[in-house]
Amino acid sequence: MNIELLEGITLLTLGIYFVPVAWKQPFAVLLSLGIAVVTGYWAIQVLAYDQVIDQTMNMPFWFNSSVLHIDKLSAFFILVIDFGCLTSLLYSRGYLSMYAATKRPQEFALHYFFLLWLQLAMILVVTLQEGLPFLVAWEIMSISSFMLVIFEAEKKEILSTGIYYLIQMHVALFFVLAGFTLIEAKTGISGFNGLTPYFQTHDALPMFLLFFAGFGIKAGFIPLHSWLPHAHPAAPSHVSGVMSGTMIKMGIYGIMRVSLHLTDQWMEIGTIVLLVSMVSSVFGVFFAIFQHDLKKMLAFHSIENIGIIGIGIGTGLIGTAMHMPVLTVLGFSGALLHVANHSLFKSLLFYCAGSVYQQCHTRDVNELGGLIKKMPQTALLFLLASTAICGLPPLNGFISEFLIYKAFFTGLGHDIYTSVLFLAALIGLTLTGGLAVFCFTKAFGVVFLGASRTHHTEEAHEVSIGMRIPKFLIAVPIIGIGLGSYLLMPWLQPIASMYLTEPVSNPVQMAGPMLQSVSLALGAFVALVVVVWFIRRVQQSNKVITYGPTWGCGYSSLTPEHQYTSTTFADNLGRMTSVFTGVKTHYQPIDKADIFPSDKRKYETHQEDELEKMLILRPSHFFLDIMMRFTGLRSGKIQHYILYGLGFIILIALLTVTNML
Amino acid sequence: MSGLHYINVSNNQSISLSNIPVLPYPAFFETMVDLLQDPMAHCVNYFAYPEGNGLQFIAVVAHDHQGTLSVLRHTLPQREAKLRSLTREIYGLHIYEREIHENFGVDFIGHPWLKPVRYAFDRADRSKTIANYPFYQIESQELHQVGVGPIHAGVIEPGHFRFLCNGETVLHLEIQLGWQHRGIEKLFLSKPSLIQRTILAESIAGDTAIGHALAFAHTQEALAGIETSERLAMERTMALELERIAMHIGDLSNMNIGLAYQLAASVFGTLRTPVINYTQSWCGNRFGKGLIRVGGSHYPFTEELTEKLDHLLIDVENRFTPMANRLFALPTVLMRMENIGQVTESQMRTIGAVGMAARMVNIPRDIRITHPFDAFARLPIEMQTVESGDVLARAQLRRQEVETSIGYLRSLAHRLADSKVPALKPISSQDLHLKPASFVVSLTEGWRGEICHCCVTDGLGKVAHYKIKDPSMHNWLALALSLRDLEISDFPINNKSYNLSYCGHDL
Repeated sequence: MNIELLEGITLLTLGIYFVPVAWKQPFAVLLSLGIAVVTGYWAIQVLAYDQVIDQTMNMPFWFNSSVLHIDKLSAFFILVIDFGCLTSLLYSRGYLSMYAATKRPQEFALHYFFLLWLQLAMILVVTLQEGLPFLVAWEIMSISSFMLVIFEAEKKEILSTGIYYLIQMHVALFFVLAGFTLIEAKTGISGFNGLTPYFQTHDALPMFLLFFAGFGIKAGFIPLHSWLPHAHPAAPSHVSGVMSGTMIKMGIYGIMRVSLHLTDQWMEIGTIVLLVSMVSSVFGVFFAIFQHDLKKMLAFHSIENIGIIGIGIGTGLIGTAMHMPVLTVLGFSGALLHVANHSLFKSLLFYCAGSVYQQCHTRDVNELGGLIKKMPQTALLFLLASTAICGLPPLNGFISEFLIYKAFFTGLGHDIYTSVLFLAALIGLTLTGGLAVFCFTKAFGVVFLGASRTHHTEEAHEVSIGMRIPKFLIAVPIIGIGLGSYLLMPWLQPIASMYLTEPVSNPVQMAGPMLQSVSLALGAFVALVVVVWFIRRVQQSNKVITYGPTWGCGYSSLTPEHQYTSTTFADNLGRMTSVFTGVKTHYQPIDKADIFPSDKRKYETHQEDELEKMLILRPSHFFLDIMMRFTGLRSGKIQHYILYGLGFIILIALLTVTNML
Repeated sequence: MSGLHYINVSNNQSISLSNIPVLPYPAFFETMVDLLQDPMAHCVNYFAYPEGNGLQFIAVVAHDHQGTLSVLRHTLPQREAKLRSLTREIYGLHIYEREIHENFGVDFIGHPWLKPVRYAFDRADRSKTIANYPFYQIESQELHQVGVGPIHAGVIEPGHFRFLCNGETVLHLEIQLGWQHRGIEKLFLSKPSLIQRTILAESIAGDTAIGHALAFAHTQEALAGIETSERLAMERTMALELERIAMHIGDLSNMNIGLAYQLAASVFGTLRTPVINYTQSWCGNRFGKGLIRVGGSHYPFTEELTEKLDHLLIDVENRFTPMANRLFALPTVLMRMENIGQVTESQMRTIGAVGMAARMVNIPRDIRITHPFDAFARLPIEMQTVESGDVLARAQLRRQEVETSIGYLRSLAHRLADSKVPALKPISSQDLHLKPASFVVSLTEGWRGEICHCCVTDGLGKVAHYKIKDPSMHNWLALALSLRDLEISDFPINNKSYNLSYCGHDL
């Protein structure tokens, strides 16, 4: 396979505008598959034969030529990107069918075009090493995702959310740009390759933090997360899936790529990454619990999972600092596996949420209920993904978190500083896991179990086969990774071993046998469940099963209001934690003297993101206030503007003459 | 306000209907508001009964200082009418107006809570059913409701409790009763014989057989002009106090089951048995059924019983007091009772709570003291009150009342031994001649609180209307108020601490 094939496909993407509207999606899938085959072939070659592939790309408008440099890290991310984008495109047809009547063919073409370009841009991001080409690819990625978010641009709030997202992405871009510029100024080498010489001669921490801020905004580490809970609910569900599952991992890629070049200060950097990640995971899941919007809840879970990935990275870096190869390998392979896992179950969750939205036209969980009877397969898939995201056996989320837990236990007791750190991270990760189970118990229970709460679910039925296929496609690796993790380790460990400073004879020995017994135990567990299920089925086969209404203490007219809602399920937790979770209640309590409360009362809660207020809204309002003072200059008269221009020229001239510039 | 507006009577005093002033409704309204301004006054009954095509309304207001009862009435020529609601002025009247509205369809303008009370069989509006009860709602998709009953986890009486919940916190509790309605008041009219009526009275609330039967006997004796002996009065009082002791101890046991304090639950549980067994050895029934009869008694209190009573009281005291001392000193128990389900004095005054529900917030409302009947007139009993209005207050009040009643029974037994006049046999149905066109109100203090029976006779001396009011009628609302802003898990202990009657309310 060579680069011309990829370039050809890139050109063909323009063809989307010309094919008939019914063929746009299959055409896009075909192209996406093409990209996946080409890049996937490279990636597998890199991983299988332990080699590095360099493909030179000739682009007229980029300075001379750019090199696609595919090492093991890139290869891993390429596979994640290809699978995520392909399933997203597959799912998009069914999901977008609800807009068929209202949207013009050009708008569909634009949408599919940018979906493909998002895939291409992400592949370029993980393969380009030079500064400027990397930034261009990064920018294409941001712009194409922006275009995808604003699919429903006719809705004002979606457009403003899109712009909010675009601005934050550019703040991120400037951090990365500043980083590359500084490196090039100091070392003369553009891009990531300049990092090693820079780190060898300079203090690594400030430079790392600069990149961490830029890539962290993309990844959504708290407190850099504020775009995530806005953009994900606004975007169509397949876009949310690919953004949350795949695109935010580009931030993780950036951090991992920069970490690869570190030559010193692993301990300081690892500690910072670990602490920020702990905060992200714990706060992410806390915020998620108090969301009523299904997709917003999933968005906060992305922050939580980015935190888990970061915990793995931080642990790995500390392992390198401690010269404990096993810690490095466990931490980084846990992080990498969680990147892949999260891209699977999070996109599955978003697709299920999208299916619910398509059928019920609401994302407010308090308006749903009882959907398992109407959408049994979607419900089952949502349950599967929920189990996986909670890190419960026997699914894939368990394996990656298991590796990270194992790293903690391996690292404990080495010295007091790291022991305390790992212990804290251990507690944080456990808390996160527990709260995630809480959150998904709530979400699954409120949305799928019980009885319908409002008219929204009346018309709901199972989604089309086209929307189910991509979900089942994702379910296969979720189960597969869970059960066959030991087969995966030989592929992951070489990537993780890139972070080792000294060569280790056989890194596979470090986690392989352990995962073998895990796989065995999980396999036995699954077998047991299957056997019990089978026995039950046989035993029940000739029994008459009758269904009746839910027992309500003999009361004859129970209403759906008798079910716990999302809010009431989490109320105790909300009151305990309202100081930092920002849960606000709008309710006037019934007065003691008000024996018979007569006036109508309302009860509403919402969650306010205090960090977003502090870091984004207050400063931007502050600047806006300053800017508003100059609005008087905007008179609308052309003469005034010419005068301003003239004044500026004169000022510059004077400054030049007086040598002050 | 002059005597023109109402007539003052004493407890168990029959009067001719014609002596009760009939006021036009505005004057009635003003008088009621005026009478009830006094914090030491409360309305013990306000009811309507049909007369021809119209309705007769009788209200009785008790004055606790003077020990009198003011009776006044108004009439309506036809049933479909709109009256200005008194509840807006005096919240305690809400239940009476609801009852009248349910039975006869009289519309009370401005009533804040004109909802069904008990779904009487002959109610005015048959379209109002248990299924379409208008529960209070808070507009929200985020709250949930918890419906408990009519069939409860413990096999108790039926009632439906609707909690408006935010998580585990109850924002509002509404109690819907009426599952147990038997039409008792109507049965009093359709069952002519005295024995049938007496048994009916004993069955109004099975746990207050003596309290209700006593109130019934008083109405009949007053209307028939029967003078009862002092000895009979003392015997009846004894039975009433034995009932109080047994029920209070049983309730303390139940509360301890709710608190999961097994020791006290068992000790009090077993302690109730000797008390009710004593009643059985007296009259053959553990709940005192058959003991209270109009005009006399089948079961004279013998010397042997006096002796046994001495032993019983010593036994009960010896076992009750140490357990109670321990119970009210245990921090884990106190933690589950203190400040739980707290209501204020002003709330209880507003809703017109009676009996224990009043005395737990320091409202001195006890018919035995304010409007004494039977032996209480000659041998006064001490009023017991507590202040805090929480579960602890309700438990402590029971303890104090048990101990007071034990002491009281001792002095009563002492007096009884001195009086040698044997009690008469009960009067038979044929010998009972009620005064025509008369009215009587009889108040007794059952263990829950004030029981009020009113009897109206027609021109021939037949019972024209029989009105029963159990203290639970008022006090269910106190339970609902206790639950506000409380964890729903505290409901069982609160419910047990009130132990209100479903059947006494539903009639």
